[in-house]
Amino acid sequence: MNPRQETSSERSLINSGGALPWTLIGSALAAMAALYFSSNRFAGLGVLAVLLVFSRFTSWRLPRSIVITYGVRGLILVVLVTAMNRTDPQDLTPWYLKQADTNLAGFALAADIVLRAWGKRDAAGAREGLGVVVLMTGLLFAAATNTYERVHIQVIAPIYAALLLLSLRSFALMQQPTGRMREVRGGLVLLRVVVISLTLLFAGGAVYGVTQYESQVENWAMQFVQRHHNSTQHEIGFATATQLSTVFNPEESIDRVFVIDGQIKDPHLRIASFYFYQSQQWFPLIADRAYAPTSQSGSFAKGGKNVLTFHRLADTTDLLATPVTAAAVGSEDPLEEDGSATIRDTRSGSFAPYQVIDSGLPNPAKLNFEKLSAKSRGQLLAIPSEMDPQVSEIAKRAAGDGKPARQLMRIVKYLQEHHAYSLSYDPHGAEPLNDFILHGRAAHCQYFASAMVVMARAVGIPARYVGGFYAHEPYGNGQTVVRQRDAHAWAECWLDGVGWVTVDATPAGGRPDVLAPRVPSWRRWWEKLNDVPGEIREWIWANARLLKKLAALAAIVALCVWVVRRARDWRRKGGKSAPRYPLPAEEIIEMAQRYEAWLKDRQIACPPERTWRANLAARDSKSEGHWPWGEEAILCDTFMRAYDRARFGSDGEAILRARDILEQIERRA
Amino acid sequence: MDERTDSFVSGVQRLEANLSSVIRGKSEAVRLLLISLLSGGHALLEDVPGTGKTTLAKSLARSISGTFRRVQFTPDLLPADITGSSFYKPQDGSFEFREGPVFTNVLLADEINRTSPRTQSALLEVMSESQVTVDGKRRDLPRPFFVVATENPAEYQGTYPLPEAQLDRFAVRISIGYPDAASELEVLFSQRDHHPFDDLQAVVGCEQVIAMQDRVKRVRVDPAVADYIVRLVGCTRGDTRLRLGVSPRGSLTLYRTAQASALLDGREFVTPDDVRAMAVSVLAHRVVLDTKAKYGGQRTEQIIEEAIGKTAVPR
Repeated sequence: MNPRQETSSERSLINSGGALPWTLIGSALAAMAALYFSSNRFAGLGVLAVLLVFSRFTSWRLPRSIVITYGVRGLILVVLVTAMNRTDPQDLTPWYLKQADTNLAGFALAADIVLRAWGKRDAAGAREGLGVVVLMTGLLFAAATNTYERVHIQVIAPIYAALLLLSLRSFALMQQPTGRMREVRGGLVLLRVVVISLTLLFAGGAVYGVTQYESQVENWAMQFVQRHHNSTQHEIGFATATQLSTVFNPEESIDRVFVIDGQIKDPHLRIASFYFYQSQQWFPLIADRAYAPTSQSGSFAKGGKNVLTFHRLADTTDLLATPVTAAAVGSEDPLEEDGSATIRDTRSGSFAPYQVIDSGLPNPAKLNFEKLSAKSRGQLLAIPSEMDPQVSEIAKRAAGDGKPARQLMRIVKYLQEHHAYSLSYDPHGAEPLNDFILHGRAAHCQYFASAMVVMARAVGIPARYVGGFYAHEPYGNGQTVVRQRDAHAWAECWLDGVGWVTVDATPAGGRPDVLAPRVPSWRRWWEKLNDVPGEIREWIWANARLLKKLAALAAIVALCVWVVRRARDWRRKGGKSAPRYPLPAEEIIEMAQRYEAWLKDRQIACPPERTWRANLAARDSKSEGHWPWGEEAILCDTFMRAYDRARFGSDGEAILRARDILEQIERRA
Repeated sequence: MDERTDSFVSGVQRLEANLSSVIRGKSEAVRLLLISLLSGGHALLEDVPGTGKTTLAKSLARSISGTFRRVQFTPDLLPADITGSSFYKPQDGSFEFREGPVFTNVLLADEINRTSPRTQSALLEVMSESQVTVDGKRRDLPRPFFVVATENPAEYQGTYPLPEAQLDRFAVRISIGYPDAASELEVLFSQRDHHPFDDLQAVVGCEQVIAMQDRVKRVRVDPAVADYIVRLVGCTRGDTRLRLGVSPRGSLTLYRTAQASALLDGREFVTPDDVRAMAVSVLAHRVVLDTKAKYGGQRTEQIIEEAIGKTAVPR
């Protein structure tokens, strides 16, 4: 009788507790993947996923302390809120429909799951915490479903549901504390029932809700959003009216709006045009615009030489940027166009890429000015009533006589010679556009564009004000990137027999390509990393049908395998009901099976009535099979010791040790 | 393993060294005796005369610093002789209770089967509940309370076999057996001038023994192992060769002794090997053979071994 002294490392690891079971980690990963593919911005989720998986391979655990419990969680939440939730205070979309907010919630849940996976638990392996994690993966998945692009959700949902169902098994087999049987408490049973029903609801809801009632849910949500918008008269960005601001584009954000494949001939990408100036604003409201389904996408199939593919990376309120020379626009979504060539996507919030055929030449056939109504012609020639009469005189003097194209060039030359560029502008209390033109002030592109429109009209050339982006930054591989700081304004004028032409009166020093500082090189890498989910999402889009079938098949196969294995276990126990005690963790069962398979390979019988140790002790040189002797027997003994500690001592770390030794033993086969 | 377990191990090692210095070459018997002490049970030493039963019991008693009493069981011993009785005090005309020899930490019940079943039965309450009821008044015995009984095998002359209920109250039955030649030689030489027993010192205190007993109760028993115990015990109840299977008290004792056995090996959890190792010592004396099996030459130890060989082990 010699009490075996344990090593200090063993001693310190007795209470290390186990990590989350694989099935639960799998379901958490599936939920995180759903969130990851729902948004382009969350490369950080990949880090969390790696941390979550890594928690299985190490025995080190976070100590239990109030700092970890509240401090770290609070810190994570603060970081997330500051990093992700830059919301516009005027945006009144309800938080549960706003993707940024549900993403934030999902990210916080994912971070908390990782914290729990790394947290220390009781030696007895009390698994009450598993229920909470199951619930959290359900919430995480629900957060990920708040997206308009649901194909990837439909692919991931069956996998998630299957993994979740499998993980419920380890949740049901809660380890019991040392020796004592736990009393059955009503509250605990109720909690389990609630958790299981909730998670099934989430999983089922994710699958069926998304596939069956997609359009209804979307309509309902859109109605809700519109009701909010209508009640506040809140309008957004390019879509409606443009205000002549004192400071242009103050945020200078380098967030990307588009990445464009193909050769861009004119960097001016128009988004929306406006014709009516009043109180420092260019109108009309979007409500005044009559959109009609565009016929352009119909002619798209005929093809063209220069095709540009626009990948949308930011919300442009459904408006599509195109060169004014675009011959056709095509997208998977139906498109609409209004009378002033503003093109929009009818599927609100869609980020699907679209193609533009750009001839690079004005296209008079596409928009025949002669066909415009008298009202349109009047609108495009009307000089705003607020304009000083001197403005028209200046325009006529500057333009002189001659062809309209020559007149326009002279007006541009006049503006660039008499006005300097400045990002900020102070109107000195007067009507700003008059003040700008009459006093030769320095201002930014909005003023040059507005002045150009007014002065062109003064000499009888139809003109309109255009807002859009100046695409100048090459992005490698023949791509061009458009960032938010590249926002620009210019004028479009109608030349008879030619069509609409871009007239940019802004001095060269004021264009975004000159103003913009270089984007740091790390930013490129970060953006490439952020593009990965988008690329995967596009791939899923492309293969959605097949992938959905495969995912459903995988889920069914997993469930079948599980059912078959359960049935086999049941039969092996002679048709008796489930054992009177909880089964050990899957890894332990697997290890036992592997060890017995190893014994079997060496023709060593190991009857179920004998422990492995008793079996090994009973061996002698005459008995059948290749019994382990010497070093091998010591290895076996070490394995059995580690296995016993894992199996009967509920020691998570011993699982890893036993597995290591088992692999050594198997290598000797 | 924490600090408490360290003190446990050192206590066990001191006890073990003490006992082994007196009883040579019988480490298995010493281990069983310690297990029965630490699991809070009582031990029955059964063997032919002269194998060291009494010496082992006395050595253990002396190794613990508590009180020690010895009762030599004789055919004319009465229950009141061991539990104590009330005496008349002529000075004030009252009765005064005088404690019997059971009011002690370690009680050596020597040759317990030489007294009548009536007196043997007086130990029932004492052993299972650690208390004595005399004249309708309940008196608690000191803690720890450990009975070591010795007996000659039942078929010997001038003995009364212990009743089943009495046997059931012993955690383990230990058979010392003859020593091997080398150990016997060692015994001869070690007693050349004096008995090594005379050199024994107490090595653990009563509080320490109580702490060790509490420590044993906290050893982890996996539900699968507990289930194994239940199935093993259930196997004896269905055996046709047995008139009486193992009682629930038997399974409880197997559970507790397996815990003690695991802790003695330095483990904080019980494995099926612990249960198997303890099964014969804990269960064999609790079952009763039916007449046919008895005269067919069956032994209870053998039947328990068979039950072990039939019961599937949790992996």
